[in-house]
Amino acid sequence: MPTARLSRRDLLEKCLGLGVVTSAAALLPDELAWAWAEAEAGRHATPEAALGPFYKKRAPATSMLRGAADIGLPLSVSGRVFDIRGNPLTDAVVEVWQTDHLGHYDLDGYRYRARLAPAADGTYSFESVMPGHYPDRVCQHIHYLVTALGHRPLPTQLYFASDPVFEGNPDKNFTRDGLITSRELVRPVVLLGDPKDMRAAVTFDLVLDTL
Amino acid sequence: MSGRVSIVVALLTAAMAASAGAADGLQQVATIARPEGVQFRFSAVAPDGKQVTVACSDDKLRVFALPTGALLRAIETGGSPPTSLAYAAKAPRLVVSTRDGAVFVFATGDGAQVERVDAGGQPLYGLAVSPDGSLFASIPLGRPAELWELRPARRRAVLRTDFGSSNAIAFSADGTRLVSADEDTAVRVYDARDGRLLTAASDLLLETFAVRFTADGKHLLLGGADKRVTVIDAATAKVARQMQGTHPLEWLEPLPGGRVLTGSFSEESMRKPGPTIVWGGDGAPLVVGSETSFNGGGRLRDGRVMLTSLKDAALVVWAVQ
Repeated sequence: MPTARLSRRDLLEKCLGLGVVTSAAALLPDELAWAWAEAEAGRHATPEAALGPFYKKRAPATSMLRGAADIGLPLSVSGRVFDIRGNPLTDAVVEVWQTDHLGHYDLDGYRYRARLAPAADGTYSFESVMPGHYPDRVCQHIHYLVTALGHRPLPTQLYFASDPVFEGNPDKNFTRDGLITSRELVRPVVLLGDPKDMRAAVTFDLVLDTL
Repeated sequence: MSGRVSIVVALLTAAMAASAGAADGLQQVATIARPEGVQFRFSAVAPDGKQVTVACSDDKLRVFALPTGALLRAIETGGSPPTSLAYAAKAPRLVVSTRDGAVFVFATGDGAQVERVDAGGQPLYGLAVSPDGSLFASIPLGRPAELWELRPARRRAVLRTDFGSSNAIAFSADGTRLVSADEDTAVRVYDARDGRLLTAASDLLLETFAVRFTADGKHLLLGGADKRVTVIDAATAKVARQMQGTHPLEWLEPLPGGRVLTGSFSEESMRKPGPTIVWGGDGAPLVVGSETSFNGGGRLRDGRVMLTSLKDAALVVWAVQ
Protein backbone atom coordinates (compact mmCIF):
# COMPACT_ATOMS: atom_id res chain seq x y z
CA MET A 1 0.00 0.00 0.00
CA PRO A 2 1.15 3.59 -0.18
CA THR A 3 3.55 4.05 2.68
CA ALA A 4 1.93 5.96 5.49
CA ARG A 5 4.62 8.54 5.91
CA LEU A 6 5.99 11.87 4.79
CA SER A 7 7.99 11.78 1.59
CA ARG A 8 11.73 11.79 2.21
CA ARG A 9 12.04 15.02 0.27
CA ASP A 10 9.40 16.71 2.43
CA LEU A 11 11.03 15.45 5.60
CA LEU A 12 14.53 16.44 4.49
CA GLU A 13 13.40 19.92 3.50
CA LYS A 14 11.58 20.45 6.80
CA CYS A 15 14.53 19.15 8.80
CA LEU A 16 17.14 21.18 6.96
CA GLY A 17 14.97 24.24 7.38
CA LEU A 18 14.77 23.69 11.11
CA GLY A 19 18.35 22.58 11.53
CA VAL A 20 17.20 19.19 12.81
CA VAL A 21 19.54 17.13 10.64
CA THR A 22 23.06 16.90 12.00
CA SER A 23 25.98 15.96 9.79
CA ALA A 24 28.27 14.94 12.63
CA ALA A 25 27.93 13.86 16.23
CA ALA A 26 28.90 16.35 18.91
CA LEU A 27 32.66 16.53 19.29
CA LEU A 28 34.57 16.19 22.53
CA PRO A 29 37.21 18.88 23.30
CA ASP A 30 40.17 16.73 22.24
CA GLU A 31 38.34 15.77 19.05
CA LEU A 32 37.69 19.43 18.40
CA ALA A 33 41.40 20.15 18.80
CA TRP A 34 42.21 17.34 16.40
CA ALA A 35 39.65 18.53 13.89
CA TRP A 36 41.08 22.05 14.13
CA ALA A 37 44.61 20.79 13.48
CA GLU A 38 43.36 18.71 10.58
CA ALA A 39 41.62 21.69 9.06
CA GLU A 40 44.80 23.73 9.37
CA ALA A 41 46.91 21.02 7.76
CA GLY A 42 44.61 19.77 5.03
CA ARG A 43 41.08 20.11 3.75
CA HIS A 44 37.64 19.50 5.09
CA ALA A 45 35.39 16.88 3.55
CA THR A 46 32.98 18.01 0.86
CA PRO A 47 29.48 18.36 2.32
CA GLU A 48 27.16 15.47 1.59
CA ALA A 49 23.84 15.86 -0.19
CA ALA A 50 20.97 13.52 -0.99
CA LEU A 51 21.93 10.63 -3.26
CA GLY A 52 18.79 9.83 -5.08
CA PRO A 53 16.37 8.74 -6.11
CA PHE A 54 17.62 8.02 -9.64
CA TYR A 55 21.13 6.67 -9.11
CA LYS A 56 21.93 3.89 -11.57
CA LYS A 57 24.77 1.42 -11.26
CA ARG A 58 27.23 0.49 -14.00
CA ALA A 59 27.33 3.83 -15.76
CA PRO A 60 29.69 3.89 -18.75
CA ALA A 61 33.30 4.98 -18.33
CA THR A 62 33.24 8.11 -20.45
CA SER A 63 34.00 11.77 -20.00
CA MET A 64 31.74 12.82 -22.89
CA LEU A 65 28.15 12.88 -21.66
CA ARG A 66 27.01 15.30 -24.35
CA GLY A 67 25.96 13.88 -27.69
CA ALA A 68 26.92 15.64 -30.90
CA ALA A 69 23.32 16.62 -31.63
CA ASP A 70 22.32 17.46 -28.06
CA ILE A 71 20.85 20.87 -27.46
CA GLY A 72 21.38 22.87 -24.30
CA LEU A 73 24.25 25.00 -23.04
CA PRO A 74 27.48 22.97 -23.33
CA LEU A 75 29.06 22.51 -19.91
CA SER A 76 32.60 21.51 -18.92
CA VAL A 77 33.08 20.31 -15.35
CA SER A 78 36.48 19.65 -13.86
CA GLY A 79 38.11 19.32 -10.49
CA ARG A 80 40.38 17.23 -8.31
CA VAL A 81 39.69 14.49 -5.81
CA PHE A 82 41.56 14.69 -2.50
CA ASP A 83 41.68 13.09 0.90
CA ILE A 84 41.40 15.39 3.91
CA ARG A 85 45.20 15.73 4.10
CA GLY A 86 45.22 17.19 0.63
CA ASN A 87 46.66 14.14 -1.14
CA PRO A 88 45.17 13.35 -4.55
CA LEU A 89 42.99 10.23 -4.53
CA THR A 90 43.97 8.54 -7.74
CA ASP A 91 42.07 5.34 -7.04
CA ALA A 92 38.74 7.11 -6.52
CA VAL A 93 35.71 6.43 -8.67
CA VAL A 94 33.57 9.48 -9.50
CA GLU A 95 30.04 8.68 -10.66
CA VAL A 96 27.96 11.55 -12.03
CA TRP A 97 24.38 11.73 -13.26
CA GLN A 98 22.05 14.55 -14.20
CA THR A 99 18.99 15.47 -16.22
CA ASP A 100 19.11 16.63 -19.81
CA HIS A 101 18.59 20.32 -20.50
CA LEU A 102 14.82 19.83 -20.17
CA GLY A 103 15.01 18.30 -16.70
CA HIS A 104 14.51 14.64 -17.61
CA TYR A 105 16.53 11.78 -16.10
CA ASP A 106 17.16 8.80 -18.33
CA LEU A 107 15.95 5.75 -16.40
CA ASP A 108 15.92 3.41 -19.38
CA GLY A 109 19.51 3.96 -20.51
CA TYR A 110 22.61 5.88 -19.46
CA ARG A 111 22.25 9.32 -21.05
CA TYR A 112 23.98 11.92 -18.89
CA ARG A 113 25.44 9.28 -16.63
CA ALA A 114 29.13 8.43 -16.36
CA ARG A 115 31.83 6.83 -14.26
CA LEU A 116 35.15 8.70 -14.15
CA ALA A 117 38.62 7.71 -12.98
CA PRO A 118 40.81 10.59 -11.76
CA ALA A 119 44.25 11.05 -13.33
CA ALA A 120 47.51 10.64 -11.42
CA ASP A 121 47.23 14.15 -9.98
CA GLY A 122 43.61 13.53 -8.89
CA THR A 123 42.04 15.57 -11.69
CA TYR A 124 38.77 14.59 -13.34
CA SER A 125 36.68 16.27 -16.01
CA PHE A 126 33.64 15.67 -18.16
CA GLU A 127 31.68 17.36 -20.92
CA SER A 128 27.93 17.69 -20.62
CA VAL A 129 25.11 20.22 -20.92
CA MET A 130 23.69 22.49 -18.26
CA PRO A 131 21.00 20.36 -16.56
CA GLY A 132 17.43 21.59 -16.71
CA HIS A 133 15.00 22.53 -14.00
CA TYR A 134 12.18 20.12 -13.18
CA PRO A 135 9.09 20.41 -11.00
CA ASP A 136 10.37 18.53 -7.93
CA ARG A 137 13.58 20.50 -7.57
CA VAL A 138 14.19 24.19 -7.33
CA CYS A 139 17.74 24.28 -8.66
CA GLN A 140 19.77 22.81 -11.52
CA HIS A 141 22.18 20.22 -10.17
CA ILE A 142 24.51 17.32 -10.96
CA HIS A 143 24.60 14.29 -8.67
CA TYR A 144 27.93 12.83 -7.55
CA LEU A 145 28.85 9.60 -5.81
CA VAL A 146 32.57 9.40 -5.06
CA THR A 147 34.10 6.27 -3.61
CA ALA A 148 37.67 5.28 -2.74
CA LEU A 149 39.14 2.49 -0.66
CA GLY A 150 39.51 3.43 2.99
CA HIS A 151 37.33 6.50 2.60
CA ARG A 152 33.77 7.33 3.45
CA PRO A 153 31.59 7.25 0.28
CA LEU A 154 30.57 10.77 -0.68
CA PRO A 155 27.13 11.39 -2.18
CA THR A 156 26.87 15.07 -3.03
CA GLN A 157 25.48 17.51 -5.56
CA LEU A 158 26.96 20.34 -7.64
CA TYR A 159 24.92 23.54 -8.05
CA PHE A 160 25.51 26.53 -10.31
CA ALA A 161 25.86 30.12 -9.12
CA SER A 162 24.36 31.17 -12.47
CA ASP A 163 21.07 29.41 -11.69
CA PRO A 164 18.29 32.00 -12.17
CA VAL A 165 16.80 30.85 -8.89
CA PHE A 166 19.63 32.59 -7.03
CA GLU A 167 18.96 35.91 -8.77
CA GLY A 168 22.68 36.60 -8.92
CA ASN A 169 23.14 36.25 -5.16
CA PRO A 170 23.73 32.62 -4.15
CA ASP A 171 25.13 33.73 -0.77
CA LYS A 172 21.73 35.06 0.13
CA ASN A 173 19.46 32.83 -1.92
CA PHE A 174 20.96 29.32 -1.88
CA THR A 175 18.42 28.30 0.77
CA ARG A 176 15.65 28.70 -1.80
CA ASP A 177 16.31 25.06 -2.63
CA GLY A 178 15.58 23.26 0.63
CA LEU A 179 17.86 20.38 -0.36
CA ILE A 180 21.06 22.42 -0.70
CA THR A 181 23.00 21.41 2.38
CA SER A 182 25.85 23.93 2.04
CA ARG A 183 26.64 27.16 0.18
CA GLU A 184 29.96 25.51 -0.64
CA LEU A 185 28.23 23.25 -3.18
CA VAL A 186 27.12 26.23 -5.29
CA ARG A 187 30.00 26.80 -7.69
CA PRO A 188 30.91 29.80 -9.85
CA VAL A 189 30.18 29.43 -13.56
CA VAL A 190 32.52 30.85 -16.18
CA LEU A 191 31.06 31.52 -19.61
CA LEU A 192 33.54 30.94 -22.46
CA GLY A 193 33.48 31.51 -26.22
CA ASP A 194 31.62 34.05 -28.28
CA PRO A 195 27.88 34.69 -28.03
CA LYS A 196 27.17 32.33 -30.96
CA ASP A 197 29.17 29.46 -29.50
CA MET A 198 29.02 29.83 -25.77
CA ARG A 199 29.80 27.18 -23.21
CA ALA A 200 29.95 27.12 -19.43
CA ALA A 201 32.79 25.86 -17.27
CA VAL A 202 32.69 24.90 -13.60
CA THR A 203 35.33 23.66 -11.18
CA PHE A 204 34.27 21.35 -8.36
CA ASP A 205 36.90 19.78 -6.09
CA LEU A 206 35.92 16.77 -4.01
CA VAL A 207 37.38 15.85 -0.62
CA LEU A 208 36.69 12.47 0.94
CA ASP A 209 36.85 11.78 4.65
CA THR A 210 38.62 8.71 5.98
CA LEU A 211 36.57 5.78 7.24
CA MET B 1 12.77 -4.28 -25.43
CA SER B 2 11.91 -7.99 -25.44
CA GLY B 3 8.80 -9.29 -27.19
CA ARG B 4 7.18 -10.20 -23.90
CA VAL B 5 7.88 -6.78 -22.45
CA SER B 6 6.53 -5.11 -25.61
CA ILE B 7 3.29 -7.05 -25.28
CA VAL B 8 2.91 -6.09 -21.63
CA VAL B 9 3.60 -2.41 -22.35
CA ALA B 10 1.05 -2.49 -25.17
CA LEU B 11 -1.53 -4.10 -22.88
CA LEU B 12 -0.80 -1.53 -20.20
CA THR B 13 -1.09 1.39 -22.60
CA ALA B 14 -4.41 0.06 -23.87
CA ALA B 15 -5.70 -0.52 -20.36
CA MET B 16 -4.72 3.01 -19.34
CA ALA B 17 -6.49 4.47 -22.32
CA ALA B 18 -9.62 2.47 -21.54
CA SER B 19 -9.80 3.54 -17.93
CA ALA B 20 -8.28 7.00 -17.98
CA GLY B 21 -9.49 8.95 -14.98
CA ALA B 22 -11.59 6.12 -13.66
CA ALA B 23 -11.24 4.16 -10.47
CA ASP B 24 -12.54 0.80 -11.70
CA GLY B 25 -11.55 -1.93 -9.29
CA LEU B 26 -11.74 0.37 -6.29
CA GLN B 27 -14.82 0.59 -4.09
CA GLN B 28 -15.34 3.68 -1.98
CA VAL B 29 -15.79 2.65 1.66
CA ALA B 30 -15.93 5.96 3.49
CA THR B 31 -15.42 9.68 3.13
CA ILE B 32 -14.15 11.48 6.21
CA ALA B 33 -14.45 15.25 6.43
CA ARG B 34 -11.44 17.03 7.82
CA PRO B 35 -11.80 18.83 11.14
CA GLU B 36 -11.96 22.60 10.78
CA GLY B 37 -8.58 24.25 10.32
CA VAL B 38 -6.74 20.95 9.91
CA GLN B 39 -5.32 19.25 6.83
CA PHE B 40 -4.98 15.49 6.45
CA ARG B 41 -1.49 14.36 5.49
CA PHE B 42 -1.08 10.55 5.49
CA SER B 43 -2.92 7.61 7.02
CA ALA B 44 -2.90 3.94 7.98
CA VAL B 45 -5.89 1.58 8.04
CA ALA B 46 -6.03 -0.93 10.92
CA PRO B 47 -5.79 -4.66 10.05
CA ASP B 48 -9.38 -5.23 11.26
CA GLY B 49 -10.60 -2.57 8.82
CA LYS B 50 -12.51 -0.83 11.60
CA GLN B 51 -10.42 2.29 12.02
CA VAL B 52 -8.09 4.60 10.17
CA THR B 53 -5.47 6.79 11.81
CA VAL B 54 -4.60 10.04 10.06
CA ALA B 55 -1.56 12.25 10.65
CA CYS B 56 -2.81 15.83 10.58
CA SER B 57 -1.26 19.22 9.91
CA ASP B 58 -1.51 20.18 13.61
CA ASP B 59 0.91 17.29 14.35
CA LYS B 60 -1.82 15.23 16.03
CA LEU B 61 -3.05 11.81 15.02
CA ARG B 62 -6.80 11.42 14.64
CA VAL B 63 -8.44 8.02 14.72
CA PHE B 64 -11.70 7.59 12.83
CA ALA B 65 -14.13 4.65 12.84
CA LEU B 66 -14.76 2.84 9.57
CA PRO B 67 -17.05 2.97 7.72
CA THR B 68 -18.91 5.66 9.71
CA GLY B 69 -16.07 8.19 9.75
CA ALA B 70 -16.82 9.09 13.36
CA LEU B 71 -13.89 10.64 15.22
CA LEU B 72 -12.84 8.20 17.94
CA ARG B 73 -9.93 10.09 19.47
CA ALA B 74 -6.97 12.37 18.92
CA ILE B 75 -3.48 11.23 19.90
CA GLU B 76 -0.41 13.36 20.56
CA THR B 77 3.21 12.36 20.03
CA GLY B 78 5.02 14.60 22.49
CA GLY B 79 4.85 17.65 20.27
CA SER B 80 7.03 16.17 17.53
CA PRO B 81 5.42 15.75 14.11
CA PRO B 82 4.61 12.15 13.15
CA THR B 83 6.58 10.94 10.13
CA SER B 84 5.34 7.34 9.67
CA LEU B 85 2.48 5.12 10.87
CA ALA B 86 2.27 1.32 11.01
CA TYR B 87 -0.20 -1.10 12.56
CA ALA B 88 0.97 -4.47 13.85
CA ALA B 89 -0.76 -7.15 11.75
CA LYS B 90 -1.60 -9.51 14.61
CA ALA B 91 -1.43 -7.33 17.74
CA PRO B 92 -3.58 -4.40 18.83
CA ARG B 93 -0.78 -1.88 18.42
CA LEU B 94 -0.26 1.29 16.40
CA VAL B 95 3.38 2.35 16.03
CA VAL B 96 4.32 5.91 15.13
CA SER B 97 7.69 7.48 14.34
CA THR B 98 8.41 11.16 14.73
CA ARG B 99 10.70 13.85 13.44
CA ASP B 100 12.71 13.96 16.67
CA GLY B 101 13.58 10.26 16.37
CA ALA B 102 11.11 8.85 18.88
CA VAL B 103 8.87 5.84 18.30
CA PHE B 104 5.53 5.68 20.12
CA VAL B 105 3.38 2.59 20.58
CA PHE B 106 -0.33 3.02 21.25
CA ALA B 107 -3.06 0.50 22.08
CA THR B 108 -5.55 0.45 19.23
CA GLY B 109 -8.48 -0.17 21.58
CA ASP B 110 -8.32 3.04 23.58
CA GLY B 111 -5.35 4.96 22.16
CA ALA B 112 -3.37 4.66 25.41
CA GLN B 113 0.39 5.11 25.06
CA VAL B 114 2.13 1.79 25.71
CA GLU B 115 5.76 2.64 24.91
CA ARG B 116 7.98 5.52 23.93
CA VAL B 117 11.40 4.64 22.52
CA ASP B 118 14.17 7.12 21.78
CA ALA B 119 15.38 5.56 18.54
CA GLY B 120 18.54 7.58 18.02
CA GLY B 121 17.51 11.20 17.78
CA GLN B 122 17.62 11.52 13.99
CA PRO B 123 14.35 12.19 12.14
CA LEU B 124 12.80 8.85 11.18
CA TYR B 125 11.77 8.47 7.57
CA GLY B 126 10.37 4.95 7.40
CA LEU B 127 8.88 2.42 9.79
CA ALA B 128 7.80 -1.24 9.81
CA VAL B 129 6.46 -3.26 12.73
CA SER B 130 6.58 -7.03 13.16
CA PRO B 131 3.22 -8.83 13.09
CA ASP B 132 3.25 -9.51 16.84
CA GLY B 133 4.28 -5.95 17.63
CA SER B 134 7.46 -6.94 19.46
CA LEU B 135 9.94 -5.50 16.93
CA PHE B 136 10.14 -2.49 14.73
CA ALA B 137 12.50 -1.34 12.02
CA SER B 138 13.06 2.33 11.32
CA ILE B 139 14.98 4.39 8.77
CA PRO B 140 16.82 7.38 10.25
CA LEU B 141 17.00 10.11 7.62
CA GLY B 142 20.16 9.65 5.56
CA ARG B 143 21.23 6.45 7.32
CA PRO B 144 20.64 2.73 6.86
CA ALA B 145 17.68 1.08 8.55
CA GLU B 146 17.83 -0.14 12.14
CA LEU B 147 16.15 -3.10 13.86
CA TRP B 148 14.76 -2.55 17.37
CA GLU B 149 12.97 -4.58 19.99
CA LEU B 150 10.31 -2.82 21.99
CA ARG B 151 10.34 -4.36 25.45
CA PRO B 152 12.86 -3.69 26.79
CA ALA B 153 13.66 -1.02 24.24
CA ARG B 154 16.94 -2.04 22.63
CA ARG B 155 18.53 -1.62 19.23
CA ARG B 156 19.16 -5.10 17.88
CA ALA B 157 21.09 -4.20 14.74
CA VAL B 158 22.11 -1.41 12.42
CA LEU B 159 21.64 -2.72 8.93
CA ARG B 160 24.33 -2.18 6.32
CA THR B 161 24.53 -0.41 3.00
CA ASP B 162 27.52 0.23 0.78
CA PHE B 163 26.48 3.88 0.77
CA GLY B 164 23.40 5.92 1.41
CA SER B 165 20.23 5.21 3.31
CA SER B 166 17.35 2.75 2.97
CA ASN B 167 14.22 3.42 0.94
CA ALA B 168 11.82 0.80 2.31
CA ILE B 169 11.60 -1.95 4.90
CA ALA B 170 9.15 -4.78 5.59
CA PHE B 171 8.79 -7.82 7.85
CA SER B 172 7.76 -11.26 6.63
CA ALA B 173 4.29 -12.43 7.66
CA ASP B 174 5.77 -14.73 10.31
CA GLY B 175 7.99 -11.96 11.66
CA THR B 176 11.23 -13.94 11.33
CA ARG B 177 12.78 -11.93 8.51
CA LEU B 178 13.20 -8.28 7.59
CA VAL B 179 13.90 -6.93 4.11
CA SER B 180 15.37 -3.55 3.27
CA ALA B 181 15.54 -1.85 -0.12
CA ASP B 182 18.54 0.43 -0.04
CA GLU B 183 19.77 3.49 -1.92
CA ASP B 184 22.85 1.58 -3.12
CA THR B 185 20.26 -0.36 -5.21
CA ALA B 186 20.64 -3.61 -3.23
CA VAL B 187 17.76 -5.43 -1.55
CA ARG B 188 18.86 -7.27 1.59
CA VAL B 189 17.09 -9.91 3.66
CA TYR B 190 17.95 -10.22 7.37
CA ASP B 191 17.16 -12.59 10.20
CA ALA B 192 14.91 -10.49 12.42
CA ARG B 193 16.14 -12.32 15.52
CA ASP B 194 19.68 -11.00 15.34
CA GLY B 195 19.97 -8.76 12.29
CA ARG B 196 22.17 -11.27 10.47
CA LEU B 197 22.27 -10.82 6.69
CA LEU B 198 20.68 -13.85 5.01
CA THR B 199 20.83 -12.92 1.35
CA ALA B 200 21.03 -9.91 -0.94
CA ALA B 201 19.99 -8.99 -4.45
CA SER B 202 22.92 -6.77 -5.39
CA ASP B 203 22.73 -6.78 -9.17
CA LEU B 204 19.79 -4.39 -9.49
CA LEU B 205 20.74 -1.32 -11.52
CA LEU B 206 18.24 1.22 -10.20
CA GLU B 207 16.85 1.95 -6.76
CA THR B 208 13.97 -0.07 -5.36
CA PHE B 209 11.39 2.15 -3.67
CA ALA B 210 8.96 -0.52 -2.42
CA VAL B 211 9.42 -4.05 -1.15
CA ARG B 212 7.14 -6.70 0.34
CA PHE B 213 7.29 -10.39 1.19
CA THR B 214 4.57 -12.50 -0.40
CA ALA B 215 2.11 -13.98 2.08
CA ASP B 216 3.86 -17.36 2.07
CA GLY B 217 7.24 -15.69 2.58
CA LYS B 218 8.81 -17.48 -0.37
CA HIS B 219 9.23 -14.46 -2.61
CA LEU B 220 9.89 -10.75 -2.48
CA LEU B 221 8.05 -8.22 -4.60
CA LEU B 222 10.12 -5.22 -5.66
CA GLY B 223 9.15 -2.02 -7.44
CA GLY B 224 11.18 1.08 -8.19
CA ALA B 225 12.84 3.32 -10.72
CA ASP B 226 13.13 0.53 -13.31
CA LYS B 227 9.30 0.63 -13.72
CA ARG B 228 9.04 -3.12 -13.19
CA VAL B 229 7.48 -5.43 -10.66
CA THR B 230 10.28 -7.86 -9.93
CA VAL B 231 9.56 -11.11 -8.11
CA ILE B 232 12.64 -12.64 -6.51
CA ASP B 233 13.21 -15.78 -4.50
CA ALA B 234 13.50 -14.67 -0.86
CA ALA B 235 16.04 -17.38 -0.06
CA THR B 236 18.37 -17.08 -3.05
CA ALA B 237 17.64 -13.54 -4.28
CA LYS B 238 17.33 -14.91 -7.83
CA VAL B 239 14.85 -13.15 -10.12
CA ALA B 240 11.82 -15.39 -10.70
CA ARG B 241 9.66 -13.07 -12.80
CA GLN B 242 9.34 -9.48 -14.00
CA MET B 243 6.41 -7.40 -15.20
CA GLN B 244 7.28 -4.24 -17.11
CA GLY B 245 5.31 -1.08 -16.42
CA THR B 246 5.56 2.40 -17.87
CA HIS B 247 6.16 4.53 -14.75
CA PRO B 248 8.53 4.33 -11.76
CA LEU B 249 6.83 2.33 -9.02
CA GLU B 250 6.44 4.01 -5.64
CA TRP B 251 4.58 1.37 -3.62
CA LEU B 252 3.20 -2.12 -4.00
CA GLU B 253 1.21 -4.71 -2.13
CA PRO B 254 0.57 -8.43 -2.73
CA LEU B 255 -3.08 -9.34 -3.30
CA PRO B 256 -4.80 -12.73 -3.01
CA GLY B 257 -4.48 -15.01 -6.03
CA GLY B 258 -0.91 -14.05 -6.85
CA ARG B 259 -1.94 -10.57 -7.94
CA VAL B 260 0.08 -7.45 -7.14
CA LEU B 261 -1.18 -3.90 -6.58
CA THR B 262 1.23 -1.13 -7.54
CA GLY B 263 1.25 2.65 -7.36
CA SER B 264 3.52 4.83 -9.47
CA PHE B 265 4.56 8.38 -10.17
CA SER B 266 5.21 10.38 -13.30
CA GLU B 267 8.75 10.76 -14.62
CA GLU B 268 7.97 14.47 -14.90
CA SER B 269 7.38 14.80 -11.17
CA MET B 270 7.40 12.46 -8.21
CA ARG B 271 4.43 14.40 -6.87
CA LYS B 272 2.33 13.62 -9.94
CA PRO B 273 0.68 10.20 -9.69
CA GLY B 274 1.04 7.60 -12.39
CA PRO B 275 -1.32 4.67 -12.89
CA THR B 276 -2.39 2.40 -10.04
CA ILE B 277 -2.39 -1.13 -11.39
CA VAL B 278 -3.52 -4.59 -10.36
CA TRP B 279 -1.18 -7.10 -12.02
CA GLY B 280 -2.97 -10.41 -12.53
CA GLY B 281 -1.45 -13.74 -11.69
CA ASP B 282 -0.67 -14.06 -15.40
CA GLY B 283 1.09 -10.68 -15.41
CA ALA B 284 -1.70 -8.84 -17.23
CA PRO B 285 -2.12 -5.26 -15.99
CA LEU B 286 -5.48 -3.76 -15.01
CA VAL B 287 -5.41 -0.03 -14.35
CA VAL B 288 -7.61 0.75 -11.35
CA GLY B 289 -6.74 4.42 -11.03
CA SER B 290 -4.85 6.81 -13.25
CA GLU B 291 -5.03 10.19 -11.59
CA THR B 292 -5.43 9.38 -7.93
CA SER B 293 -2.62 10.06 -5.48
CA PHE B 294 -2.98 7.65 -2.58
CA ASN B 295 -1.62 8.76 0.77
CA GLY B 296 -1.92 5.59 2.84
CA GLY B 297 -3.88 2.43 3.43
CA GLY B 298 -3.52 -0.95 5.03
CA ARG B 299 -3.55 -4.69 4.58
CA LEU B 300 -6.45 -6.38 6.33
CA ARG B 301 -6.12 -9.73 8.10
CA ASP B 302 -8.23 -11.40 5.41
CA GLY B 303 -5.72 -10.33 2.75
CA ARG B 304 -7.75 -7.47 1.33
CA VAL B 305 -6.10 -4.10 0.85
CA MET B 306 -7.54 -0.66 1.53
CA LEU B 307 -6.21 2.65 0.22
CA THR B 308 -6.80 6.24 1.18
CA SER B 309 -6.70 9.41 -0.89
CA LEU B 310 -7.62 13.06 -0.52
CA LYS B 311 -10.52 14.63 -2.37
CA ASP B 312 -11.53 18.22 -1.68
CA ALA B 313 -9.49 17.95 1.55
CA ALA B 314 -11.62 15.01 2.77
CA LEU B 315 -10.10 11.55 3.28
CA VAL B 316 -11.58 8.92 0.97
CA VAL B 317 -11.13 5.27 1.96
CA TRP B 318 -11.15 2.68 -0.83
CA ALA B 319 -11.30 -1.12 -0.86
CA VAL B 320 -9.38 -2.83 -3.65
CA GLN B 321 -11.60 -5.33 -5.46
